[in-house]
Amino acid sequence: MVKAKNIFKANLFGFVLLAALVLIPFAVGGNADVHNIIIYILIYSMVGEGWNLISGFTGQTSFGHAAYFGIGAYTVAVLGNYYNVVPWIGMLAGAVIATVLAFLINFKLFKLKGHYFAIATLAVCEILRTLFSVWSYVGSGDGIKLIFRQENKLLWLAMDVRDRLPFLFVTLAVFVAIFILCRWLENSKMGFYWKAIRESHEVAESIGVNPQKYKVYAMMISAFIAAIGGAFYVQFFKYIDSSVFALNVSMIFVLVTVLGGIGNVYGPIIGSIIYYGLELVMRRAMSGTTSGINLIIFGALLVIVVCYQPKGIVGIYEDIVNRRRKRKLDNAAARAVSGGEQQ
Amino acid sequence: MLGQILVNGLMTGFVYALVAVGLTLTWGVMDVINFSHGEFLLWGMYAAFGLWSVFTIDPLFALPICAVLIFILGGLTYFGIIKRVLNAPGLTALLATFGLSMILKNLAQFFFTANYRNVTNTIFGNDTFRVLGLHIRQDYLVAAAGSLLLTILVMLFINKTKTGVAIKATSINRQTAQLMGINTDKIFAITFGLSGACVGAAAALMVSFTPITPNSCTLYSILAFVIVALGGFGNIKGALLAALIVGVVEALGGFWLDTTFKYAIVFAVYLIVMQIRPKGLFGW
Repeated sequence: MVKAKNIFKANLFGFVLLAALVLIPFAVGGNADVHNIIIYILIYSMVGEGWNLISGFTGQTSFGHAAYFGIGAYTVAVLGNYYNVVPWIGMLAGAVIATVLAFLINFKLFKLKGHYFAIATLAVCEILRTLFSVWSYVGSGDGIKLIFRQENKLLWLAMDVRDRLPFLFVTLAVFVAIFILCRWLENSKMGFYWKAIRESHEVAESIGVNPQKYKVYAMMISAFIAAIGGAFYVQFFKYIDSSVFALNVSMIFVLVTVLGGIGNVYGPIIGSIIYYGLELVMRRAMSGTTSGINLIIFGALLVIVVCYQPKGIVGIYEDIVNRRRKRKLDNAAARAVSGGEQQ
Repeated sequence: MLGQILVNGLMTGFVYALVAVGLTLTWGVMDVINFSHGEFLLWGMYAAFGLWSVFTIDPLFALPICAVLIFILGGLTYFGIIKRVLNAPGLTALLATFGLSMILKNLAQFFFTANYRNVTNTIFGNDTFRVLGLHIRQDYLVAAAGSLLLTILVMLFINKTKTGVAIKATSINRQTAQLMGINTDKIFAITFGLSGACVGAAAALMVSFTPITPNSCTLYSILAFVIVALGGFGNIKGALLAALIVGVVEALGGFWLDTTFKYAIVFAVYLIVMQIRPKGLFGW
C-alpha cells in the first residue's frame, strides 16, 4: 500500500499528463482536429522515447530513426494489404524486422564515434529511401494505400483510424506501455550501463561494461519502439511512401525530444505537445495554412531553450525547483542563525 | 563516353567542394556541425538572385557581395547562438544550428514563396564547348575554377596569414591558444564568418545552374556532411578530394546502374569507407 502511494507520488506529473490525455478527447467532443493532433503527439513521442534510449541515455546520436519508423510502417502496410494480416501482428512483425535490421546495421556501424556515427545513420536512411522508391513490390514511387477490411475488425482493437476515438485510446495505451518500459529501463542495470557509456566510453570499458554490446542493445530496443510508432503512423495516415525515410522525419523525433528534455522520459511527450500544439494554434489563427510560421516559432524556441538550458524544458523546470528548494534551505538556515543570535 | 562521365563527375565534385569547404572549417576548428550551412547557401542564392533581378548584376560580379553578406550572417550566428552553446555537451550546438536552419528555411519560404527561381542570361551561360571531344558547360567550368581557387585561397589564408595560424592554433588546443594571447572569441567569429563567406561565394557561382527554392539546398547540405566526414575532421584538402571522389562516384554509379541510385551509391561508399577508416579518408 505504501509502495503504491510512493509510485503515485514519484510519478505525479505522469499521472496528471495521463489524466489530461484521457479527458481532453472527451472534453472536445467531436472535434476531429484536436483528436488528430493528440494522435500525432502520441505517435511522435512514442518514437521520441525510442530515440531517447539510444541518444539520450546512451549518448549515440542517431539522425536515422526514420529508417526503423519506416520499416515498421511498411511492414504493416505490406502484410495488411497483400496477406490480409491484422495490424497488431503486422506491428509486431515490423518491430522484429526493425530490431534485426538495427542489429545488422549497427553491429558494424558502432565502430564510428560522435559525428561520424551520426552522419552514417543519416546515410543508411537515405539509402533505404532510394531503395524503397524504386522497389515495385512496395509500390515504388507511388507508395502503398492501406486497404481496410471489414472482417479484420476486432471492435476497439481494430486500429481502424475511421473510428477516431477508439484509435486514439489504443495509441495512448501503447504509448503508456512504452513509457513504462522506458522508465523501467532507465533505472535497470542496463540503464546504468548506458549512462556510463554516455558519460565516458573509456571509463565504462575500464569498469567492465562492454560498450559495443550495450550500445547495440540500446539501438535494438530503440528500433523496436520506433517500428511500433511507424505501425501507428501508417494506420493513421492510411498511406505510406518512401518520403517517410527523409531526414526531416528523423529530425522531428530528435527535435521534440531535445526541446522537451533529452535523457528524460518526459522529454518526448512535452516536446511533441509543444510542436503539435503550436501547429494547431497557428493553423487556427491563420485559417487553414500555417505557411511555415509555426516552424519559424518552433525553431526560435529550440534555439532559445537549447542556448539557455541544454537539458530542455525538463531541465528548466528542474532549475526552478532546485532554486526554490535552495532558497527555502537558505531561509531556514538564516532563521536558525538569527534565532541563535537572539538567545 | 567514360571520359565525358568522368569530366561531368569532376565538375559536380568541384561544386560540392565549394559547399563542403565552408562546412569543414567550422567543423574542424570548433567541432560544431553547422546544420544551417545549407540554409546559408540558400540565402546566398536568394541574395544573388535578388541582385540579379533587381539591379541586373551578373552573379559573377555579385560574388563578393554575396560572400560579404553571408560572412555577416555567419558572424551574427556565432555571436547570437554558437557562442552560448560552445561549452555545452555534444548535441547542443548542433541542435541550436538546426533550430536556426528551420528559421532560415521557413523565412525564405515566407518571403520568397516555394516557387522556383532561375537566374538566366549570365555572362557564362549554359552553352557548352568542346575540348578533346568532351562537352564542357561554361558555367560548370567557371564554378569548378572558382571552387579550386577558393579552396586554395582558404588554405593559403589558414597557413600563411597570422589570423589563419591563430585559427589553426585554436583548432588544435583552445586553452593553450588562449594562454598564448589569442582572442579565441574573435577567432571563432572569424571562422564562422569565413565559413559563411565560402558558402556565399559558392551560392553566387551555383545560381546559374541551380533552380532556387527553399528546399533546393537540403541535398547539398546532406552531401556536404558526407563529404566532410569522408574527408576527415576539418581537413580542407581532404574535403576537396572527398568532394571530387563523391562527384565521380555519383556520375559513374548513375551511369552503370541508374540515375535514381546515384546518391544511394555515394552513401554506401561512405559507409564502406568508414568501416576501413573510421576517422575519414584523410583524417587521423
